[in-house]
Amino acid sequence: MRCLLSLAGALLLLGPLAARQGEPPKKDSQATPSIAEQFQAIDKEVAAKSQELMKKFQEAKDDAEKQKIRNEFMSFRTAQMAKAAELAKKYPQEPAAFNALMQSAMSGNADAVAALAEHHLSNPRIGMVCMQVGQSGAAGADKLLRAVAEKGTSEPTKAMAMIGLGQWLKERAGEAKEDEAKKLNAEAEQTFEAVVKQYPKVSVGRGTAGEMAERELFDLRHLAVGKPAPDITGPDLDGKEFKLSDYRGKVILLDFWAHW
Amino acid sequence: MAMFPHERSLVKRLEGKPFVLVGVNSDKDKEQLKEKNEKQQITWRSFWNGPQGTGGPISKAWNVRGWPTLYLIDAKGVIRHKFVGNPGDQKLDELIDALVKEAETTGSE
Repeated sequence: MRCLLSLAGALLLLGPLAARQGEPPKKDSQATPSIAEQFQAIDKEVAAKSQELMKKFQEAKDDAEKQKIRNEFMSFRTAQMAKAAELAKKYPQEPAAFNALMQSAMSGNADAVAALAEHHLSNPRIGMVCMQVGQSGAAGADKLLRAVAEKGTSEPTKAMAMIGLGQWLKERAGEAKEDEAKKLNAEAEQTFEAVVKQYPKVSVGRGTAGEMAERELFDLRHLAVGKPAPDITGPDLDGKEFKLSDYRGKVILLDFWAHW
Repeated sequence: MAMFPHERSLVKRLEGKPFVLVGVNSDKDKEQLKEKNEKQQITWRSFWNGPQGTGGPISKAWNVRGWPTLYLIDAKGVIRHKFVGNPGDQKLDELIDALVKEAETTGSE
């Protein structure tokens, strides 16, 4: 699906990113741009480029041309993100470096993870970052998640970090060999159990941390590698009832699919 | 969708082996679905997830959050691998072949 991301979609992502880029600089706004302004400048260049290309995109004759424009935008954006990452590496303690550090952390950059854990624990968005980093399963990201779970400055932040940690462990388990996977899943289970105990009512996203952790626990207890597959009973496409366990004795590839 | 050709060849290649491909289909309209299946030569059996489509009872019970989601279950009924998104033809083949081999050797003991 990721490759289908349209130019328009990619552009939409920029809006909030640019807007979120931190508070307007209050000082040293004269001669040399402040560090925050340097980050803003990078985003502004992307926004300008996207406007320029959007116009071309709308006027493009065919899909091949559209694809070319899309690629041009993507590579421009990647280059700008690399620029921001460089800047963040130089000034990891700057509040404005937060977004760039988050991006790097999601791709598994250990320095960015360390910088977030060291300088940005009190950022109100660190909890959301933890959940995203957790889902990405980026190598080494558990350091950040454990740090925030322990030293986060609010209950939701800590709860999100723990959920992120549990998801990170699950992600890693999915890619690990069987023995290692069992260990990782066991730790994930403990982590989610702790969330249910400590933060049952804390609201996270659309629900509560407790609900989210319960769902994850069901996953781990019944739908994880090494667990007996729950049986399915239901009609086939001709309305004839059958069971998944009818095929015991055979290797089953179970595919949740649709035509769209 | 990109998986159909490979799934067709999997079913063919492993004919007569202890392997089966089972789908859980989440299209809302069952009648249209049959036509589409004929066109795509989808011959393997699927549960139907019901008129709520992706919100249907089977995918809900299995906490499915992405399509396709694939589970590879061994001959004893134990979940051995899980993928959200297509894991790639080669990888899938290797994992399935290993489990089929396992089923054949333990079966003949």
